[in-house]
Amino acid sequence: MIASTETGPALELIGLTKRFGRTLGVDRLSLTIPRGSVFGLLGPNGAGKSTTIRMLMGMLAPTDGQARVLGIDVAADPVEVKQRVGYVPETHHIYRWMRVGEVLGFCKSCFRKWNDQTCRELVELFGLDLEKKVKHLSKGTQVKLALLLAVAHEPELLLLDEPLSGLDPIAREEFLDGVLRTICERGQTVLISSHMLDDVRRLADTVGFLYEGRLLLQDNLDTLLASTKRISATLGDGCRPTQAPDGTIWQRIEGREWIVTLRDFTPEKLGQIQATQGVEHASVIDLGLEELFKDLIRGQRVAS
Amino acid sequence: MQIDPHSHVPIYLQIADGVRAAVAAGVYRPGDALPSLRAMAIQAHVNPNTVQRAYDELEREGLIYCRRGRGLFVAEQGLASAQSVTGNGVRRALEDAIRAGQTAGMSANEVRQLFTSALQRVTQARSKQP
Amino acid sequence: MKWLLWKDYRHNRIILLLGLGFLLVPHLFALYALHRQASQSWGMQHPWQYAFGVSSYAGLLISLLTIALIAGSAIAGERVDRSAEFLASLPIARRTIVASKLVLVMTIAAVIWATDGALFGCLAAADSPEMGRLFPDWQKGLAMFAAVGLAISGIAWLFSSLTTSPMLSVWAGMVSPPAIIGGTAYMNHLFELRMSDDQLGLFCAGICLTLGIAGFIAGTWYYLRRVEP
Repeated sequence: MIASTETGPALELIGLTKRFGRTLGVDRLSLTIPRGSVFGLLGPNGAGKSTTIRMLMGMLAPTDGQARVLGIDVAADPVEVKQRVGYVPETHHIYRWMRVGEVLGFCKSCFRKWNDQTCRELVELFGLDLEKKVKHLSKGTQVKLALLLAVAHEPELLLLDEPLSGLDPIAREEFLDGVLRTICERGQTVLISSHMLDDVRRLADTVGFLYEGRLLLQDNLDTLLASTKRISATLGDGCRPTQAPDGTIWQRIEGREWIVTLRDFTPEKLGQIQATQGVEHASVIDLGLEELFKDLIRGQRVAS
Repeated sequence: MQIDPHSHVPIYLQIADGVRAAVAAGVYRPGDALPSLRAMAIQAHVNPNTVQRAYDELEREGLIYCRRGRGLFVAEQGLASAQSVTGNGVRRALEDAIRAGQTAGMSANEVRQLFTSALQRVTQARSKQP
Repeated sequence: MKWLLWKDYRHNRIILLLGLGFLLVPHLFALYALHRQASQSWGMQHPWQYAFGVSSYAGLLISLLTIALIAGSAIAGERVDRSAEFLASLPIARRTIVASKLVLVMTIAAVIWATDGALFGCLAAADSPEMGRLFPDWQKGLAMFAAVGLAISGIAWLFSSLTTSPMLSVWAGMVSPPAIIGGTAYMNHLFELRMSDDQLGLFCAGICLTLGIAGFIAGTWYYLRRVEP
C-alpha cells in the first residue's frame, strides 16, 4: 500500500490534459486543494468538470499531466485512490437488479474501512428500504443511496459530480445536509461540481471556474465576491471608452451606460474609470455568485 | 436562521447579523449558550467554517465569549453591544439610501424631505399597532 | 471475490438459465421420443443409449450458443447498461474483475462438458452398432467440439473486451468457426492444396484452438491495459 501524506494537499492537479480527438476537454489544468476545504468547481456545461473528476477517479486516462489525490498518483494506483475517496457521479449506474441491502453488502466487501453505524444511521435518515430493488427507487432515493455508499467507508475526500441534478428541493436539502454532516463531523474535504450556485455558495469556501477546459480563476469565495464589483458608468453623448482597467472580466456598452465587471476592485480602479474621457458618473454594484458566473462566461465568449 | 445565498452580504455576516438580531430581540439572553458550530451549520445549511467566522466576528465585537470546553455564551454586555452594532447597520443603510438618491440626481434637501416623511410614516404606523 | 462472483452470476442469470434449458431440453425430447416408441424400441438393442446419445450431442451443439452468449456478454454486458462505470468507481483491481468473469465462463464450459460431454462420451464409448453408425470417429467429433467451442468463446470474449456490444460479440463468436472452416476450404481450393478431409479437419481444429486461446489472452490483456470502464 502506497502511503499518503496526511498533511499534504487533498488534491493536486499538475497540467492535467485530456484530448478527445481534436477537442481539448481539459487544458493543462493545475489546481491544489488543501485538506479540510470545500471546493466548488463551477463552469458551464461542457467545460470539463465531469471529465476532470473522472480522471481523478482513475476512470479516464489523461492525455497529459498528473493528478495526485491524497498524495497518491492516480495513474499509478487508482485502486488505492478509490479506497480513500467517496464518489457521487452525475448519473447512477448501480446494478438495477440488486436490492439496496445487496448493494450495501457488495460495496462493504470492497472497502477496507466501512462504518456500519454510519451506514445504519444513513439508511434510517434517508429512509432506504433494504428489500427494494434499485430499479424501483426514485431518482432522489438513488442519489441518496449513492451518497451513502460514498460516505460509509469514511473517505478522506468526497468528489461530488453534479449530484443535485434532477432532484426536487426536499431531496436536495436532504442530500446537502448529509454532506454537511460529514463536513461537521470529520472535517471532510469536498470537491463539488454543481450548477446549483445557491448550494455552492452555502457550502464552498473556495471556488474554481472552468471554461473550455481551462481554469479561469480560483479563489476564496467570500474574497472573490467581495473583491469583484460591477461598475456602472454614464457616458457623455457620443463618447466611447477606449480602455478598461486591469482585471476586467467583461464589459459592455448599452446606450449611454458603460458596464464593467472588475476583479480585485480598488478605489483606484474606480477612479480610473471615472477619469476616463467621456465618463460623467460611475457607481459600484456588488455581485452575487450567479451574476459573477454569467459575466465570466460572457467575457470569455467575447474574448474568443 | 435563514440565509439568503442570493444576497450580496457575505454569509458569515448574515449569520452574525442573525445572531445579533436574536440577542437584541431577547431570543438569546446574556448567559445563554449559543448553538454549537455544528448545530448552527446544519440549521442554517452552511459550511461550519462560515459559522466559525461569524462566531469569531461576534466574539471580536464582544457580543459573545468562549468558555473552554463548554461552548459559546452571550456576554453580559451583549445586549448593548448588539444594539450598537445594529445602530451601525442602520447608519449604513441610511448612507446607502442617500447615495442612491444622489445617483438619481436628488439634492440634499430632497433627500432630507424624503427622510422626514418616511420617518413620520413609520412612527405613525408603529404607534397604531397594539 | 465471493461477492464479485455472485454479482457476475446474478448479472448473467438469464444466460445461465437459458444454458441450463439448452442442456435439459434435448434430454426431455429424448425421454418423450422413448416414451412414444416404448413398444417398438425402434428395433434397436439399446434405444436409451441411442436416444440420449443423440440428445447429449444435440445439447453440446446448442450449448455452443450458451458459451458464445456468456463470453460475449461477460465484459460488454456491463458496458451496455453502464454498470461497469459503477464497478469502476469501487476499489476493485481490474485483474480481480476480469478473473471473476473468466471463472464464470470457464465454469459454464466445464459444466457443459461435465454433463453432456461426459454423457455423450460414455454412451459413444459403450460399443453399440447404432451409435457406431451415427457417430463414427466420435473422439474426433468431441475434439472438434472442444476446439470450436474454444474459438467461439475466445473470439466472443475478445470482442466483448474491445466493444460495448454484447450482441456483436456473440455474433462474432458464432461466426468464427464457419469463417475458419470456409476460409480453410477456400484456401485449399485457391492454392490447390488438395488436402484430405482429415487434414482439413485437423487444420481447422488447430486454427480454432489457436484463435480461441489467442482471443482469451488478447481480450484479457486489453481489458487490463484499458483505463476506461
